Formats: sequence, C-alpha cells, structure tokens
Amino acid sequence: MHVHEFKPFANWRIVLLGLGFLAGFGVLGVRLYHLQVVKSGALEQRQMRQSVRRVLLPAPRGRILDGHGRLLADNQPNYCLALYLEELRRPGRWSNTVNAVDQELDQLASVLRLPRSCPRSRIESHIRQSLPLPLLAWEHLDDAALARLAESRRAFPGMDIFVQPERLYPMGRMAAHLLGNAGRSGFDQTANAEEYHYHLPGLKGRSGLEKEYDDLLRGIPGGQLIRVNAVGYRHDDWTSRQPVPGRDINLTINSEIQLSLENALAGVRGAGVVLDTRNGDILAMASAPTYDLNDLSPAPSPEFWRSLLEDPDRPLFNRAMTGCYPPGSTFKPFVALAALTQANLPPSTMFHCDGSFHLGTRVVHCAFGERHGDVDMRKAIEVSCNVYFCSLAQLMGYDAIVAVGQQIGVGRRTGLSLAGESPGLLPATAWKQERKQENWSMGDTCNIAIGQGNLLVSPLQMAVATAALANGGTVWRPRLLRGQAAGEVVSRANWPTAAVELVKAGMQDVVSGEEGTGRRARVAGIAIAAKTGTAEYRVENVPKKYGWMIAFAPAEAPRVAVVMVVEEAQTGGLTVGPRLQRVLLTIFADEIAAGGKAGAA
Amino acid sequence: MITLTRLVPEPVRRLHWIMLPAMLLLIAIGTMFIFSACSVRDEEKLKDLYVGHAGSAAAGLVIYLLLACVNYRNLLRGSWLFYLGAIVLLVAVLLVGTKTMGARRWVLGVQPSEIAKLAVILLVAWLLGRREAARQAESYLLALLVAGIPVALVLQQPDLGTALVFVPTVLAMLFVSHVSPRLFWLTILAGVMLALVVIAAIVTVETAQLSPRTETWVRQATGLTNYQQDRLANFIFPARNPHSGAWNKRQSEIAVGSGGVWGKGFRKGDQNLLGYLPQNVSCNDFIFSVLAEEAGFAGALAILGLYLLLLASVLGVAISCPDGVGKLVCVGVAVMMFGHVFVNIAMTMGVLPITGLPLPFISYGRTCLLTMMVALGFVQSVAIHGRQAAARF
Repeated sequence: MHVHEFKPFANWRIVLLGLGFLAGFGVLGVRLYHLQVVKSGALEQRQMRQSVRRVLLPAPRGRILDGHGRLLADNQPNYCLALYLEELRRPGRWSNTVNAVDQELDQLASVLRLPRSCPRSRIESHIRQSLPLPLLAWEHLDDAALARLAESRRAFPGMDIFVQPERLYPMGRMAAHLLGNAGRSGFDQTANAEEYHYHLPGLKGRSGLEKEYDDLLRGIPGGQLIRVNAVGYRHDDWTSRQPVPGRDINLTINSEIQLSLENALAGVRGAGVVLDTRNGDILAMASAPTYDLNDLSPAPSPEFWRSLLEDPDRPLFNRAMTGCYPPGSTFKPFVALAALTQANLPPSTMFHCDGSFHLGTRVVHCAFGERHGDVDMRKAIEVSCNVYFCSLAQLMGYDAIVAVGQQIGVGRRTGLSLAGESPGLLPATAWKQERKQENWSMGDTCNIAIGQGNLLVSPLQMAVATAALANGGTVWRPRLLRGQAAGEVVSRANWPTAAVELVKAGMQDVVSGEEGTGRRARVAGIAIAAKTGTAEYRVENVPKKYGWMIAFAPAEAPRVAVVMVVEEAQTGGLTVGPRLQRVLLTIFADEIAAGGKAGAA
Repeated sequence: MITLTRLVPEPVRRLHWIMLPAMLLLIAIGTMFIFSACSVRDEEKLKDLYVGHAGSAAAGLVIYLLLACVNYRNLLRGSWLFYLGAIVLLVAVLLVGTKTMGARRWVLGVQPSEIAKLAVILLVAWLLGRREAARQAESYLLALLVAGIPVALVLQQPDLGTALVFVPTVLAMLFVSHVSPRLFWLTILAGVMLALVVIAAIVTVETAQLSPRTETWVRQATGLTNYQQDRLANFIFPARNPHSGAWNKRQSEIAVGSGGVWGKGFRKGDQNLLGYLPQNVSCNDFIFSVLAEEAGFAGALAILGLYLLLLASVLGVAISCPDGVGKLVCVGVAVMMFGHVFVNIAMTMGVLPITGLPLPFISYGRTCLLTMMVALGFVQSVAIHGRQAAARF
C-alpha cells in the first residue's frame, strides 16, 4: 500500500547498481586473470631480471705435479677482510653509508695495526659498480692480523674473512719457463660470460703450461645467484651451480734432474733438455737465466716486469725450445749416419787431415789448429775432425745430409704441447736461391756438414734427434704430460743397426777416448756416448761461441738423452762437458751408488 | 522453537549474518597482510602496524554493534550535526593539518576527508530519503551543495582521488531517489563534458606545441595542480615517463603478475621483501599488490568474492528496507565502498591512474577503517530496524 508513495526508490534502480558493481568486478577479474595467469611468466621474468644478479664463481684451479707427485704449482688461500655493505648501510644519502664504511675501516685499521689499503674512492666505486658483492678492504692478512680480528669480531658488524685462491709455486724458480704462471683473471672470456653480472676473480694461465692447459686446470666455473633489493644491496644468495674443480696435471718432469740441470746452467745463458729415449718423456727442460714464478703471481709489479723485459739476458725467453742455434759439431754424428745410410759409404772411409780443408778460396780449419792425420769415420767423430766431415760431405753430396736431417726432425717442430716452439732451419738448396739469389755451393754443404752455415736447431730438437740416435731411429714426439698411453712416434728412420752402432761407438770414444773432446763429462761406471760442439757466431762483430754437448747413456742400453747449449762458451767440451757431467751424476745417482757398493764389496 | 528464539533479543535475531562475518574476515585478512607488508621495515614501531589495525578494528566493532542496536532513523536526525563537525575538521586540516608528501590530510590523528564521505552520505540520505523531499528541484540542488562543500575543501588539500569518490556516491543516491530526473541527467552530461574537456586539455598540452603562455593558461583552466595533471598524463601516455612517475605502477604490476595462480606464499612476496614496492605504500595504498603476489590469483579472486558478497548484502538490505532514508544510506555506503575497492585494485593493476584511495578494511589507515565500519554499522542498523513499523520522521 506504500508502493505508490515510495515509487522514487524503485528497487530496479538498486538492482541496476548491483549489476554495475558486477561489471566493475568483472573488469577487475579479467585484468587479474591477464596479469596473474596470462602474463604471469613474463612478469616473473621481469621480477627476476630486476632483482637477481648472476655471479661467476671460479673453480679451484688444478695443481701441477712432477713425475713423482711433487707439487710444482699449488693453490694457497689469500685471506681477505671483506665488508658486507648491506649490513653497514645507512638510510638516506649514499654518502651516509660511505661514511659508515669509512669509519669502520678506520677502526679496523687501528685494530689490525695495518695501514688502510682501501681509500674512500674505492668504497664509492664499489657501491656504484658491485654493491651486492663484498668489499675486500685488506688482502693477504697474516696470522697475527687474523688473530687480532678474531678477538674483536663482535665489534664490527658486516665484516667477514673472504678467502681468495692464489697461485703458489713451491719450487720457485724451478721449471719457470715450462710451468709459466697463472694470474688473477679479470673478466672471464668463456663463451657465456656476458650472462653474468659479476665475476669473482679466479686464476687464469698467462704463459707456459698454465696457459696451454688452462682449460683443464681451470675446471668449470660455478654460478651464484644474488638477490638484490630495490636499492641494490644483497638480500640473499644461493649457489645455482657448484664449480667443478680443475684437474691436476702430472708432468713427466723429474724435479731432481730438473734442479740439477738448472744448477748446471746457473750463471750462464743457455738451455738444456733431458729426454727419455724410450718414450719421448721430457725429464727436464731448462732455460737460463730464469726467474721466480712467485714474483709473477698474482701479478708482477710493473718495475719487476719491466726489468724482466729489459734484461739483456732475456730471462723470459725459453731458450730450450724457442731458442735456435747452429748445432756445430754435434751435428757430425748425423752426417756420419747420412754417409752410412744414404750414400752407403763404408765406415772405413778414410781421409787425411792436415789441419785445413781447401775449397776454392775458402779454408776450413780443424779446432785448435790440430792435424789429425789419417782418420776413419769413428775416429773422426771422436776427434771432431772438420776436414774429414767436409771431405765426406763432398763425397756423398748434400741430399744425403738433408735426408737424415729430415728424418731426425730438423726444420720441423717436434710437436711439444707448449706454444712458442721454434722449427729451426734445415736449408734446402732452393732456400738459398730464394733467400740470397745465390746457387748452393759445395762450401755450403761443407758448412752444414760441420753444423755451421744456415743450419739452426733448438735444444729440444737436438734432444729428440739424440734420442732417435740412441734408440736406433725412433723419433718421439716429446711430451710433458704423463699419460697412460705409450709415447707418440713421429717417425721411424730405417737405419741399419751396424751404422747406428758405429756412430754410437764413435760417440762413446768422445767421452772415453784419450783424445775425446767430451772427456770432462765422464761418469765412473756409466758408459756415455756424447758429442761436443762449438759453433761460432758474432755479436756486433765480436766473435763468440756457442758450446754444445749432446749425450745419451747408458751407451749399451740408452735411457736418457741429454742436450745442453751454453752461449758465450769457450768450447763445447770445456764449458758444457763438466756441466753435463753434473746432470748425468744426478740421473745415474742410484746406479753410481749401487756400483760403488758393488765395487766396495 | 518459539521459546528458543524468544531467548535471543530482537536486534540480535535481526542481525545480518553475512555482512558481519564478511567484514570481519576482510579485516582479519587485512591485518595479516599489513603484518606481512610491514615485517620488512627497519623501524620496530612500524613493524607493529598490524596491531594498530586490529586495535582500531576492535574499537570499530564496538561502535558497529552499538550503532546496530540503535534505530538509524533516530540517529539520522542528527546528520546535520555530524556533517557540520566534518566540515569543521576539513577546514581545520587546511589550517593546521599535518603535511605529508605535499598534501595536508591529517588533523588530530584523523583524516577528516574519510569522515566527510560518511557525513555526506548520511545527510544526503536524510535530505532526499524522506517523502516530502521527493521530486523537488530544491532538494536536488541542496544535495549537490551538501556534497560540493566537502569536495571543494578536500580538493584544497589537495586529494583528487578522495574528492572524486564523492561524485559517484552522490550521483548513485540521486539516481535511486529519482529526485528531479531532468536535473540528474543534466548533471551527468555536464560531468562527462567536464571530464572530456580536462582530458582534451591534458592531451593538447602533451601533444601540441603550445606557447608557454597558452600552455600555462590551459593548465590553469583545468583546475588541477601540475602534479595531478602529470599523473593523468602519465596514465594516458605510459611511455611519457617510464622511470620516475611510473615506478610504483610498474612494480605493482610485476608484483601482482609474478604472484601467478597460487602466489608465492605468506610473507614471501619478493617485491615487498626486496623493497621494489616502496615500503611507505605497501601497507596502505598498495596492500593489494602484496596480497596478490603472496596469495596469487586464487587469493585475489577470493578477496574480490568477499567484497562482492559484502556489497550484495548491503544492496540486499537496501532492497528490503521500506523507507527511502534507509535505502539511500545503504546505496551510498555500497557505492562508496565499491568506488574504493574498484579504484584501488584497478590502480594496483595499472588500469587506473595512481590515487591515494585505500582498500576498505584491508589497507592500513585507522580513520578509513573506522569510517567504513561505522558506515556498515548504519547499514546493519537499517537491516535490523528498517522493517520496524511506520517510518515516521
């Protein structure tokens, strides 16, 4: 009955409002569905992108060990004092936080009794560039500093010890050229490096084996995810992928022989290689002068680095494999081998030596003006008669020498797994034509026959050749890494046993004979076959000599080949002989001791 | 049976048994998510905001129940006084109010603009709801004046969002009361024209190359502050200022969207935890982002459902109430609440420009919570006493 009176407040109007509400909630529901169901994944990605930072975690670097498991390159912890800025932050301006960190550093400096190594500018740049990462305020804290820190740890919030790996070379200078060094890596250059926002510094091989086997040693870096808040401070973190530690590598190097070789080279410029003739394992390889690897780790001081670069003795230069020298008379055994195997000349081939060999206008003398008289091949090797080998070369021709030179690998890299190897030079007749527009002359052949002229070899090449001679013709690919498999054969020269035996006999006479030029390398109880060499060179028109010696032992069943070269030597026999003897004494120490006992008994 | 019902007092039996639990549930959820949103704050005092919310709710519940017991018809006789009180507070806030973020909104710890919303609803309901007011142009204009004074005062704070909430509320009440339909449609037309002109002005300023003098003139002609114009322009042209002004909008969208269907879990919302949602808005204006991120689509839908249930109940009370004053009180309260819910949630999802409207019962804000509870208290009173005989005013 009141219906008419209340007609203005018709209920359909209220229902209409209700429908309006429903429509409004419908709009909200649709938008909600769009955001939380349809676009959810994309928005979650955006959320991740703005708040998650990826950090590359370097893996522990593999160690380098010698043939007996002795550590040559190791890792040592570098204790750093780290400040976690998210715990030191102050509200308001950034400078408030910088001030707070600055003050804490001052207080820490007095507690540690160390000078501050992190200036205010570094705090500011750290905040700008790598806020979620800890700020390393001091590095290389010693035990005393760590102890003082442990006492007052409570007083300093947001402070912790952060351990950084650092390379340590326990043997210092030993095998420096071989091992090379690993320094702190800046930005990792691995394939997906750009996916990471930050890189914690790891170690990266810079030279030598550290560089060559960096992939193996470095392992696989892990990943850490840091969640940052809207301001950029670290909120929390978790490791998304554990780093896979790098692999240790075991070298063929024998530390004792290596040390002995380096000691033998102390004080001179030169190089030496000790090779296992049975499989090509490098037992020692040294270049002198050398340097201490620890001075380069984690990074050399600029002054030290400049001194290394500017040193006229070029300590960074690896003479053992990058250095190239004329082999001098140490090439003669191979020339003899060429005569026997390529030209089929008999060992009894005789020439008369009156001290000089005339070829047109050129004269080749024997050393010290000696006249050797009538010499056969074995004797010629023992006394190193230049006249004999020039005559022999003239008789057999240059091609025979080239053939054997190629067989033993002159002019070709030995295939060592280390960058920087020099191929040397075995000049072909065409080479001279091309280079000097001159025809190959008999004089050139003669020069090569006595290891001079344009012939160049590296000590490593000479060691491989010597080993080939010792083992009857197998040219091994020298190796530094101990592997399961036997060595790798590069080539096998088909030399008749008789020919090899004759050359070996001549080389034994070099050491044991009365007139032998290698007498100074004698080792009691061990039969040694060797050849000395002296090659002339000029530095600013001052004549100088390279002293060489190649050897293998024991002569009857060779195990090692030793090659040494010394720059600015008197002669191979005089300068290198005693040095090579020291190396041989080390190599055969056990045999000598056993022999001595046997003799005593 | 009869004896059993006799044991329960009349008002309690008539209590609307959906509205009250729905409201309490929303308040409980609000308390939970204020706790979640504020748990990351540095200051200990601010971590306990949820306690304040619950405390206000307890006080509000007492007032709510008291109001429910009293017949609204008696109370509304005093709506003039209530209205005058609100106006005095609104003037006071302009004179001595606390200034935060460029606007004066607080006086004596309360936000008078919140109280004014309810005061306007009650007075307009009183003016238009009685039989004698029907179809009189004077009462229509009086209602516009009653709403216009607080709107003008709120705009002075300035608080555009709150001022705008008055508009649909009063319009809906005028629509339902059907007083002077011709004037009503004229008002609607004028309002739409005004809105179009303002938008056109902003678009012109933004796109056309105006001389500085003309631009200043156009800007002043809109009657909006530069800040308000900027916000509107940012909304119309999202690419205009992708970094500064739109930060909250973008982060809120990321929060809502990254919540996914089931959410990240209570107190596990990254956007709030990591401070991408600014801490000073995460517990009030942007509480829905926190909720949607942590409770997901499912949780957000549940909240929308609760609001819908509450609003439907209020409108149901309006329909079942025999007198105009009761109907208009319910309609006004429903539209005001809907306005807050819609604008707030639409804002957090980037559908509407950012305004400072809180989400009823859930956002932290004591005045707002109390006002909303008192408003529902009046609706509850309508539910209980509306069917009592003879509406005699």
